[in-house]
Amino acid sequence: MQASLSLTLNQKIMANLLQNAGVNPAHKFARLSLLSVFLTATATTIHHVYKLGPPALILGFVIIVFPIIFLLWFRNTKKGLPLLLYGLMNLWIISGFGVADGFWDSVVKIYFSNFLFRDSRLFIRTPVRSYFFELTGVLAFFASMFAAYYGYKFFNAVFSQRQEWKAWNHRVKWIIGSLVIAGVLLAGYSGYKHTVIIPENKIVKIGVIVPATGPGKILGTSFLKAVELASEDVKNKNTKYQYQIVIENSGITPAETEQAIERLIYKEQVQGIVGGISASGKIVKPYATSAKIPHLCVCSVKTIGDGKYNFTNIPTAEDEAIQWVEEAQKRGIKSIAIINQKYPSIEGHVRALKEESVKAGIKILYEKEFEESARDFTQMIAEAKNNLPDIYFISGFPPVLDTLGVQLKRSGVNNVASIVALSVSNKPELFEGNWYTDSYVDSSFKARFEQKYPGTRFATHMMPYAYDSFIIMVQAFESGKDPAEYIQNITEYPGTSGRLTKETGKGNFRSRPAVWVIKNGKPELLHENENKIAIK
Amino acid sequence: MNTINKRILLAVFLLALIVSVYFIVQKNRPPVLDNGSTKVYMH
Repeated sequence: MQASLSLTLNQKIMANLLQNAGVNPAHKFARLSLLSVFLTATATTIHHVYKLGPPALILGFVIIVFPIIFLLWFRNTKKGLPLLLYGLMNLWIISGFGVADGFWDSVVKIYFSNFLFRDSRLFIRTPVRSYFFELTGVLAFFASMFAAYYGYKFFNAVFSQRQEWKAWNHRVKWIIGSLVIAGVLLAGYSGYKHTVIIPENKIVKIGVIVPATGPGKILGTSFLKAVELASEDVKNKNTKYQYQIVIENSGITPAETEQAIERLIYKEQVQGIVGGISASGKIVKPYATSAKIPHLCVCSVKTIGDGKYNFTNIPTAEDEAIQWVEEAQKRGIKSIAIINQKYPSIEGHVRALKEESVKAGIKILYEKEFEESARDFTQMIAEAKNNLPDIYFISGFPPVLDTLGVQLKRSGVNNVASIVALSVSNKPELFEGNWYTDSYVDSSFKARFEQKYPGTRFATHMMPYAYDSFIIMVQAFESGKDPAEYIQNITEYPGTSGRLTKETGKGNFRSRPAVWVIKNGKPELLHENENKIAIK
Repeated sequence: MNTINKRILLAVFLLALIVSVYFIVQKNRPPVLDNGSTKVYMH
């Protein structure tokens, strides 16, 4: 509303100005100066609407309308005050919105950080956002250069026409020259600051981003405990630098994750990130890439690991499926019925399981997906039973997973197996004697936890990887090389989660999951010795 | 350079700016940043 009012007002004034067009250079340059200031202000207002939302229209109103008022006031009175105010408005719009915002943020981001000098640390900017957001930033700079040129010409013409103001022509040149030199020095210093990886105080900040609320809370808090344990272990060693953990809650929505990662990178200025959960890892990835800092994510979505700044560290769906099929073959399983919840990470596991099963000659006799809201599985179970599978592969999140467990038990189905899911069940006793694949956890590591946090329930799924990721991050900084480059070149790492391997330059740490069974209502490692050998 | 030439040059430059920003944004924009989505995720 305000914007449209100001637009109409401006159109009328511009028409009026054009009608009064004369040969006087002051008039000609006044029109051109006002037009370019108006275009700069319009572009930056649209740009700021993306950034700040509707309140940006108030800013837009001020920077569009006030220059017009000051210039009309000057035209009618020819006094120094309105001219000074118009000059200050120009200075604010050109240097603040045109140069600092338009050039330093948008133009440098688009053409330098993402086109000409992709790998340079001199041009570290925020991730690229929508087209119109970036375009209006670039256009604001472009228009501001015209505003600067015609503004200078206008003031020059006005000063030349008044004997008592003539001296200002010289002074304006000095003011502009000083401002340009100060701007270049400031910009150079800001760019240089980004090239320094280790801060002067030798305290390296590592951001830890995991959910502390919502359904991922238990995974998140377990993850944090593992990182804290790793941090304590680092403190007990003689390291070159000190390491400070900065924790942020990734929340339960992408918007919350974005706020959390922005706080970590731009406010806390962390030098590395250790995170968990694929959903938030996907959001953290572009921020880590833009900030050119290493990001180790305990997440199973392989594409998060780009091998440059982002790396994943947890068994991939393929690794889980290979281990699962190996165990199934040992047990003489020839056919499977699959009942799983519709969910991206679960679907990834099922896809990989089917591929590996086909390779091993295991038949898929029945397959059905269910929604999170499903409560009645009797028909699904009956259909699966009719196919007489050797085993029932199930997967889902509680509470629907436990509902399925109850109904399977009631139907007399006891031969159940899974990938990961049984470890997150709230009623593991429902799956007594059933087996599943999940992260390997070194028994001494597990014992340390149980001793340190007695009686606390942990989700072991991510913990050893969280611990190992933090230690890898510390080693990367201690190496004295660019930490991202150090991680890029790791090919093997003996961790608490077994032997981690990675192809040079690739973004996924691979590891061998373990087979677990539910015994006396608790998960227990089936082949402890095999995995112990794997570490060495 | 006469005024018409200047205007053509300006229009071509503006067009190049608009098109180049479009392609650079397309190539580099992370697909997951959706600016404030409140869709809840679990895992």
